Amino acid sequence: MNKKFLSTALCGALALSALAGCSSGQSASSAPASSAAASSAVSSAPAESGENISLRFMWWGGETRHKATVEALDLYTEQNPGVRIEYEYGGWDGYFDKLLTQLAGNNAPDIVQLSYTNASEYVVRDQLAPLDSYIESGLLRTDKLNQTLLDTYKIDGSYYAVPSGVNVQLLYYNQTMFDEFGISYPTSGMTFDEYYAKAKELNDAARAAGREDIWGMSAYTNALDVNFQRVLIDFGGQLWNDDLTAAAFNSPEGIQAIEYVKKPLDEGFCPPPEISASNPAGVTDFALGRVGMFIDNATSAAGLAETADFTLGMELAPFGNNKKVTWYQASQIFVITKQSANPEAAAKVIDYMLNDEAAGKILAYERGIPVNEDIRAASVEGKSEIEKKELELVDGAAEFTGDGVPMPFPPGYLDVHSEFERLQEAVMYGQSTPEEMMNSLESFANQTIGKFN
Amino acid sequence: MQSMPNVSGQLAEARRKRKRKQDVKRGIRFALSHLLLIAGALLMIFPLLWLISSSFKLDNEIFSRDFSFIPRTFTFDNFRKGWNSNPQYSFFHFFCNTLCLVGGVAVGNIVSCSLTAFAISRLNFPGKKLVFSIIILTLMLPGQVTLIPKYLIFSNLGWLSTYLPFIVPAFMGTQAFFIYMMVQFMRGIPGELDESARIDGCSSFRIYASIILPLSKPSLCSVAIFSFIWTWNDFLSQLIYLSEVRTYTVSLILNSLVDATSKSSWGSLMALTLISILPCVLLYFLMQKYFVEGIATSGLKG
Repeated sequence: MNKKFLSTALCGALALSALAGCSSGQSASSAPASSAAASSAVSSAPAESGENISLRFMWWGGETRHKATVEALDLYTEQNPGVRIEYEYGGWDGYFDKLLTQLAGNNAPDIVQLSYTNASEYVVRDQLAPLDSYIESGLLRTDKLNQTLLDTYKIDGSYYAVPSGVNVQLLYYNQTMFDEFGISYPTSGMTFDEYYAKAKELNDAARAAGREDIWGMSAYTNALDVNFQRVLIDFGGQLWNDDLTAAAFNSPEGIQAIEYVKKPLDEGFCPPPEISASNPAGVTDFALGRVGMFIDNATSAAGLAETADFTLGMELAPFGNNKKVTWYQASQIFVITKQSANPEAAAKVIDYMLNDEAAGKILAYERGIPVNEDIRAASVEGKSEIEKKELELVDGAAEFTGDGVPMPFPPGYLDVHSEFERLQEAVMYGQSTPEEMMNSLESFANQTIGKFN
Repeated sequence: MQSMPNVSGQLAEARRKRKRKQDVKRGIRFALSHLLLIAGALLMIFPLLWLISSSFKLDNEIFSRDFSFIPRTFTFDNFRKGWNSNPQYSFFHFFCNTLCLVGGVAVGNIVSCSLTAFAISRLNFPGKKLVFSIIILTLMLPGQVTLIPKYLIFSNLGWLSTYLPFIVPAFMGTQAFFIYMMVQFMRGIPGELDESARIDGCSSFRIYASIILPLSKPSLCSVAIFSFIWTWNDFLSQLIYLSEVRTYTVSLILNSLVDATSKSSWGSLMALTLISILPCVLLYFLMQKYFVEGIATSGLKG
């Protein structure tokens, strides 16, 4: 009985290790791809390059993004028989832990999806391959991409990343509410001052009608790189010093910008933070019909239209008072790691993801609105009215980009971003002054960025 | 004379009354303590109940504000959708992957840890104390410290995206906690047993296989259950070592359904989570008797 137990245990162990050994044999073929390619080059000369190339593509996402991406990449390997792509996808949790471990172990995938803010950390650590030569040779076509956006990822004179999709800031407004108080709708091309005036007008009309639970606009807080940077640039300031080694926002312009963002709260035409804090998670004041106007990403349009029980209007977000501070933001970015054995093949896959018509159809809006202008235009087909309008505005934003240009992101940016949100909340609650906020954010930012130098 | 039975009757009556009073008191205390315990149990089990009810709800009902445990529309769709949520493989594939991995680790731990524990608790060899202290010392080493070196070793061995980084160390007796637990248990088995076996001509291995191992069944079960549940629920090391989707485990697949930056289908996630906790629950109930015995007699608390 005892012997039997032991022998079965050992047998099981052997069988299992054999099983694991088997699977290692299969996967081992992926690592030394070049040697396999060399040996098989004789037997068959497939499509283009004439060799078998194995690539690894890593991204995070949810169920639908996985499905769309796998479908698009399957189509690519079908069209390019010499290329094999291994998909390594997962959720957001642990994504960067895994990537960093792989990079440290010299075992990173070839193509990686990164957050639109954190490419520079990897550049500083010398882990990404510059893309310039592929862009110049036309392997990775960027002529249909917005140049301002692309330049955000020009670090030390080289391009290291391309956006996987774009976003632009739109002004959403509650048409039903404007009709109710007989006020003319906001329009594209308003300045911040005009936007504030419109909000105040709506707010005053509501108060005059005895409504205390409605405000003109939502507070223009959060996102350091978007909301705050737009106002800051408009006042003539900048977020970082020119070589991205230290913070530059603790300036008179920076303090002005924070005060300007807080103005609607001080004058009472945006809801106080304690009201907004009581909303259910993920639901905005605007979605609840509590405010008339709201600035958010273009990709929120479909979701807002779905949940709102009022008529949704939208225009381009207001410009600055001095500059037309409008730009495309990336939703995520694609990069090629330095450890990649086949960077040209990887560049071709990225090119396919961005510029191929069939891929564009499959990928749809899974990574933001398509970056390629032609594909963006083609994607309108079969879309709802709201999405058509959204695309029209996103396209229209192009003519204003370039006037007021965002800065690239310094390494460690994400931490500074969260610290900014925390400190700004304290200012909005009146617990600290803009000066105090700028001082403590500056020392935090310099310390964080300093770790990478 | 007449009062005598009366008195005794009164006494009996009083005694009965007092007893009844005590009974009532005890009853109240009983009811109160049970009420408290039930409330506590409900509080503890709430997340589980929430999970079960959510896995039968439609997506938009899960986080809706008027919450009810009973779904407004009862649907099995989550299970069907969740089962096929991965573009390449069905959930069954990942379930089998996880069973393979967990089974290998559990068998490895049982074999290696019981052998090691036997040597330390029963045999005499030079440096025994030192070896045991080194084993215990590894308990104090945080896993994060060895993460990168281990990754490099397994990467150089070409073991990434296989289950070898999990199973081979299990066969090497790297789980110091299990060794410690089994040493404690084996020390409680009377030494006369192996002495008489030795007189009868048993080798050390025979003593281990025929005497100590059967007597350690309860603690072997604890080791099996612990390593099963820990490996089943492990996320970080599976995330790090397994990068090909083909080798993904249940926890990695569940994670791949959640994304902070896009819409997640919570219903199918809940349904899959429900499926994935079943093996652990089943195993625990099946082996509960041994499990408690194993921990209790080795003087350790899980």
